[in-house]
Amino acid sequence: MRLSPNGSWKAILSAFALTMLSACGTLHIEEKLPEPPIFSPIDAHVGLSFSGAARTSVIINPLFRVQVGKVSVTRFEQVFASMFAQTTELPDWPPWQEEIDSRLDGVIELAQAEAKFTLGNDMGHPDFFSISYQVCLYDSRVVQVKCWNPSAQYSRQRVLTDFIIDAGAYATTAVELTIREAIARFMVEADKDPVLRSWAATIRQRKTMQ
Amino acid sequence: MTTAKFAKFITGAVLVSCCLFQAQAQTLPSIQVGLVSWPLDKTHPSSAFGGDIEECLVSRIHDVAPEIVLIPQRVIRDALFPLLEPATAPETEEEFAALLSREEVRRRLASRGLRYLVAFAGETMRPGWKGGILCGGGGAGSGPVGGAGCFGFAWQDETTALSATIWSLADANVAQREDAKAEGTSVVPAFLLPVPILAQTRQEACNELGSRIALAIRKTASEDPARQ
Repeated sequence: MRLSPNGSWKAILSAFALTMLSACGTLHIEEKLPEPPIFSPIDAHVGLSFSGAARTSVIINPLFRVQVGKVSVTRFEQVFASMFAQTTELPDWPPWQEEIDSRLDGVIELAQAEAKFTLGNDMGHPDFFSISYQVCLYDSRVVQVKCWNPSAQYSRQRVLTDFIIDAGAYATTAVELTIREAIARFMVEADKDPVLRSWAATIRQRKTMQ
Repeated sequence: MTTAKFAKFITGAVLVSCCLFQAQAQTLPSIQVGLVSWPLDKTHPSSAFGGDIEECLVSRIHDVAPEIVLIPQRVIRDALFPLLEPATAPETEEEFAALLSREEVRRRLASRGLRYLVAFAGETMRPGWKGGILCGGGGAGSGPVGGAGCFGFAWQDETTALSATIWSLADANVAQREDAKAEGTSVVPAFLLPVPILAQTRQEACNELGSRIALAIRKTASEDPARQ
């Protein structure tokens, strides 16, 4: 096969781009929490929904790629399972808002998972990673009970050895700690939330009357 | 007694004492102890999942009291998630005691056979370098003599203060408090080349604290054999 000068440049550029992309590794973050989280459980049967935006949230930078959405969805599945006596994952289609299954007491949705990673350097510009979630609970009539917006940030002034030893491990730690912290904030806030407890009491009362 | 006989006697004595010590360590029942850094340094959240002080304490406690089986803080935090994270951990000792009294927390720690939880904290203070070192270089024109070098003397004081609270998990009470402090000075003399000689106060304070924790746990556990 003979390439024209124009074609050979394209081939070289494509090869270079492919090499660059293959160098950009996906960080492996343990998706599941090692144990079910601690929460004072609510005696309710709740549908679980994960929006497309939350599922597909991803960080891409020249050094690595992190599938934040995938990790977040797996962890929130565990979180919701600890929060409610029974959970059922809802299908993506048809939209659950059209009609909620009569057996469900409500629906909880991970609506957003927004992550940012700003790479600094080892000369006075810290690396910065942040994540913010939106979690909303709806009752069986699709009326919003409460939305929570937990977030967490991680900022660290990198030293030269952080990246020389293992850049992937360094970034994995930053992402892991931040996701963990945001989820912990959500759980502790929700566990004490009077609105959530009042909704739980209403459901309990309704079940007692039935 | 000849030198050879004396050497044999000493070797024998050392071997016998080593065997006795080993036998004693093997016969002591194991004590499961959890380790967590608390209160947490919120400026370094990664310290909640390990660090040099934790590694040093684990090693020292094991050396002093091999019957103590330490559970690392990562395992404890995972078991108690989300209650012991940097953003959600208790801020006062009363809150910490309340956390340890929660039924689910007690159940999870008990399922690992834990009897004590050691909450350690501390920091190293380095106020800044004093003195000075001048470095320079130059050639001597066309001659063979030239080069570069440093000259001077710099030093930095360093203090590490560590503390630990040993919590008895049976009643969520403080069983013992221990602390350790080490002071030192890092020096950098420079005559042509700077030669840094760094103070090891973290290691010294940690070794001291580790020994104290080990002995305190051994003593506390022996005073309460009913719970073994």
